[in-house]
Amino acid sequence: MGAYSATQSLDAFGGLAIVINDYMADNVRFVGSFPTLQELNNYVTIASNGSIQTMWAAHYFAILAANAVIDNVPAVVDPGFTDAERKQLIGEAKFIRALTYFQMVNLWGQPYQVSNGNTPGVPLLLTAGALVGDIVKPARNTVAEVYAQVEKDLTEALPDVLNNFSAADQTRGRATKGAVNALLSRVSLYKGDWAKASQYADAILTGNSLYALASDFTFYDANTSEDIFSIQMTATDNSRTGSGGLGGYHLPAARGGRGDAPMSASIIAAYGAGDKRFTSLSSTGVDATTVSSTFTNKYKDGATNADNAPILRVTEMVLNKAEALVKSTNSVNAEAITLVNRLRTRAGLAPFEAAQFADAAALLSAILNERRLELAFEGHRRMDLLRNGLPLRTAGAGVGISGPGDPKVILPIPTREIDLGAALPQNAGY
Amino acid sequence: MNIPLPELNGFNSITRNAGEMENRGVDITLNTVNVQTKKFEWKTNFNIGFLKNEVLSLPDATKDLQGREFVGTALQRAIVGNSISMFYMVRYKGINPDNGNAEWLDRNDNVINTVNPNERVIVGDAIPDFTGGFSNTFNYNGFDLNVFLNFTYGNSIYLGDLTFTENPIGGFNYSRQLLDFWTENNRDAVSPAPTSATRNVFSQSSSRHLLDGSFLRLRNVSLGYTLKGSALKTKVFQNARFYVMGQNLWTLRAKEWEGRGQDPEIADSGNNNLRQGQSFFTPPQAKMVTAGLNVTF
Repeated sequence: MGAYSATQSLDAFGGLAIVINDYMADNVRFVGSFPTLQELNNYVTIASNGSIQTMWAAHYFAILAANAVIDNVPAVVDPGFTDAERKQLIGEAKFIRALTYFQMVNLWGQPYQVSNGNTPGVPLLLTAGALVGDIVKPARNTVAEVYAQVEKDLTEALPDVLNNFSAADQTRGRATKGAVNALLSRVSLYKGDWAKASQYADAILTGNSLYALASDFTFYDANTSEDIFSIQMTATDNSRTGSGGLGGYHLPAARGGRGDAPMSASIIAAYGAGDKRFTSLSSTGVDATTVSSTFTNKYKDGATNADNAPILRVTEMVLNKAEALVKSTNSVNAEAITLVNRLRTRAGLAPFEAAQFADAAALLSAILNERRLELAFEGHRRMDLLRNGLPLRTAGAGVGISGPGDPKVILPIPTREIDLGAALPQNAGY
Repeated sequence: MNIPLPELNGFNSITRNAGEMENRGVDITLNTVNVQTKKFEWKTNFNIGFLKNEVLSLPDATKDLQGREFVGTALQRAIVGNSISMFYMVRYKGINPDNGNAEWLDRNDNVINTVNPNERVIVGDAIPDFTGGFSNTFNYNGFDLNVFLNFTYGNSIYLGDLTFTENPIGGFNYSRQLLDFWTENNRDAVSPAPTSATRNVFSQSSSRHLLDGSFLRLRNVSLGYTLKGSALKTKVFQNARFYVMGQNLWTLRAKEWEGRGQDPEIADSGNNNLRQGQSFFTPPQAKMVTAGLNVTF
């Protein structure tokens, strides 16, 4: 299905969103040469930023592709094309549309917690009108409206998509019930609906033999039972091999990469001694400025960027549920501690004990720290901070101007779109 | 014309007849034989083309602040009443000699210290006022000399590569231009003071990266000597011509190109009318010297 192909673009889910999320937050340092990424890192972004324009375009291209499937599959005349198959493909397209809109609203809109989603989001286009020459210039929907559409698409898709496929790369790379449930868990968590965040995470964690928490850290790019959904990539899927992908940014030149995104001092310090998430998932190498730096090992192919892009995996569901439990009970929740201890043990660290935590806030802070260390370099950190009311930076550029609601924690609507579509008000501060 | 579409349609442009445009111009060619004697001949060919391009109407387009219809990208616009390829950017003013801050101008000519795309105005035209060529051929006693110059005047060129190389906070591959930074003792500087916050935004696209595209270039020069077989009383060959030829040996252009290096005859624009005169690390044309021997049997 062409919609999956559209998601592979560097500028959609092929890696750039992960990279810029991290440049705006505190897990990596910027040492590259791209001025458009540097200005994000330095909190001086302007609306004519070319990288942001191509990202905007790639997201809407993926949405157009999904819309085309949703619009046109019902009308296909083919007696061999069963109703169930039609519903399944439409469901998969709705998952892709939901995933794309959700990433967009997180990049271009303030977190839901700011004014309860009543802030400008992105325009919702739900038909493939452009394919028949129907050019539109729609207005921006609110963040809450985009969330509502994402939830609608996902709940509609859930009954129609399959549990799994015969091949692992399809079970882990196409929209399945597991993928839809996992994304619903994340959407609910970001929105602050703790009961649903926990309930949808349970669909993965409880009684589902397709998924299991990995026992070590060798699961990256391997389509194991740790993976719920990742963008499947081969050496030819990312047409931008020269200017980067996940491996390209995160690996030093000696391993084929650009060396543009080494780990920050702050995350290295956060790992602490003996943490296997650092010892088995990092290495040193020469960065883009020819200085020796520490890089993540989560991505392996710096030359052709063939690593699958991680989107949803079991570890996140463990963390989603733990966080939702603490927030919903507002207590030092024993089940939440048991959940994060599965991750602590896997990382070779001593398990937490309830007595360590004075109150719910202390436990929550510890869970968010585990979340940072587990999901680092997979694009989560920025939203995890913002939705919890925390600033993206406590040192360097951005201090004092990088909290939720601040203008430059979100992206500007590209100048080109504003020029061409009068109905798109710019984000404040751009 | 490629009409840019809002990219939320999934496509970024559509090719269609978007309006009306007028091209007015004059082409003049002069062929003269300046000297012609038995042994010596001097001929010239001079041509020059003046072009005035104007967009007359763009019926479905958006209107700008002045009420003119336009279509455009982040750097270029086709605006009714102007040429189809106008550069539309924030104007760079220079380094303030008093404090070392880089300064730009807003729409109302006030000094600003950031590059805000809301402050863009027309800053140049990618279409030259005139272009042409001038060829001289001399023949003397078996020697032939051809000198061909070409020229362009009145256009602007945007060098996107300068946003990388002239970035004072870039990590590497710095331009030497940046060494000329502001200090108390160097107030007439190219780049901001090392303590200035404007270093952070210095490389953002503005008219700083727009250069005068006018040039005069020694496109081709060749010198040859032809030896007739009959002169050597041989029938092995009829004619033999030895020659040496040079291409792009010399270019005259505005001083602002110095140290920024690229070729004013750039070509990475393709056929997109809103990307004319733009370059991004386009390699310059080679200087070439060729020597050879042509023998006719």
